[in-house]
Amino acid sequence: MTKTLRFGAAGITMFAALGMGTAAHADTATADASAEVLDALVLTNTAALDFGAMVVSGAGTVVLDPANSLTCTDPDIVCSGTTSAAAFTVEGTANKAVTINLPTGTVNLRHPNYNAATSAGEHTIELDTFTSSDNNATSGDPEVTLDGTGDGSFTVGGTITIDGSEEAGLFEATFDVSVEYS
Amino acid sequence: MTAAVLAAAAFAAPVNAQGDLLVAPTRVILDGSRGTEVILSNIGSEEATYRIGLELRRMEENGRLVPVEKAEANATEEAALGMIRYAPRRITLPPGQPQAVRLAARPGADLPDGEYRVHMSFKAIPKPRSVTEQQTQAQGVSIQLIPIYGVTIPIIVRHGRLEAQVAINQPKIVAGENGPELAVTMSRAGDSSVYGELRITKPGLDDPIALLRGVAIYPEIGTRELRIQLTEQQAASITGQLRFEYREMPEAGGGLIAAVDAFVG
Repeated sequence: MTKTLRFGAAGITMFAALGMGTAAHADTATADASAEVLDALVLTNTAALDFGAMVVSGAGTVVLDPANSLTCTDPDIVCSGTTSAAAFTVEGTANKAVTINLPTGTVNLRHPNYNAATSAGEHTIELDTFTSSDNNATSGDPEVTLDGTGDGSFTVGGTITIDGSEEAGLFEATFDVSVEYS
Repeated sequence: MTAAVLAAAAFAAPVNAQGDLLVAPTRVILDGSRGTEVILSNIGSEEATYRIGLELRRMEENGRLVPVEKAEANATEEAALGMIRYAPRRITLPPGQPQAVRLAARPGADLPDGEYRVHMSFKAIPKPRSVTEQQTQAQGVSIQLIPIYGVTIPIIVRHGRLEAQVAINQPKIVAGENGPELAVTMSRAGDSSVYGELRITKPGLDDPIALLRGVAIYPEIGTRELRIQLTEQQAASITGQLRFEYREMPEAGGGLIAAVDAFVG
């Protein structure tokens, strides 16, 4: 699959090489329009980060590694259900190493009843220690090296910390994943 | 809480990949006067809203780009943030729809010569979820994590006459975590960044034994350490007299930036 886009001077014309139809509003390029081919960078999310379900009767941690292997050994937490590590695909310049930045601090998952003034631990679950499947050879920091055709993929896991006081319900949060081109 | 919380039914969050995106080109070099465009396209299956912002990154010697808070910006980074104009800053796109983001640099008249850089970020903003989706089971703890994912590309402004020199030194084979690795150190001097591909060739072989493309060395570092994970086949052939060439990318002309002939034992 090519990772290039070709633009006519009269408007943006995208070819179906990228699995997309031609842009709906593309102008008809005149015959002498110059076109240039640009390198493109594509990021897609192919799996969510899912810790499955938990029966919680006390404090503990649950670790999901990037290979989707769950460590749930604290006696007061029983894990069940299907888990999944977050998965992403990157397409770009062949044989290029690309930095991945994951949250370095703690992400707080909040219960719908969370109130900053009154809530304590019952409405918050902490998520931290984000880990990635692909890392820089020297530093061990997240980095993906695209292959000879410009394709790469990586997965992300993390650790959740439960204090045992959590109220039943759905705890929600967003977390940032950024792919940095140099 | 003393009573055990019962498990919720497994909350399988389907991936709706809201925010899949394509950006082109992957790096922008502005020479101050003319503006340019970056194309953003929604390649997901749903309408998505993207936020476009300017961020700061600093390169470390291993090539990693580390985020820098705007409050911690140095003078060069402040100047870079101040001179880039771009629009729009927020785009809602139906699936398969591209749109151009226009950008230009307006360096001040008294700006010192140098290379200024920001990183333009393209990130999808998650849709607020409907109330029905937020209704939870009466019992159990379940977890819903939504990734906000995106890309950044460098926007480089070269102001004045800038130069850079590069030297390749000390290639050697080292034992890495997953087998042998080739370690190469590149030194950069001058006030400009360099960008290109490192080709490692062996006399008599047509194809390079190893090739690393899109290698940037930015002005904030004088040394760039490269580690190349070798297959056993590569490790076997990567001995003896080798030629290391750092060249501009083919689309930039492919000119030679630095080269060294080294004996790797």
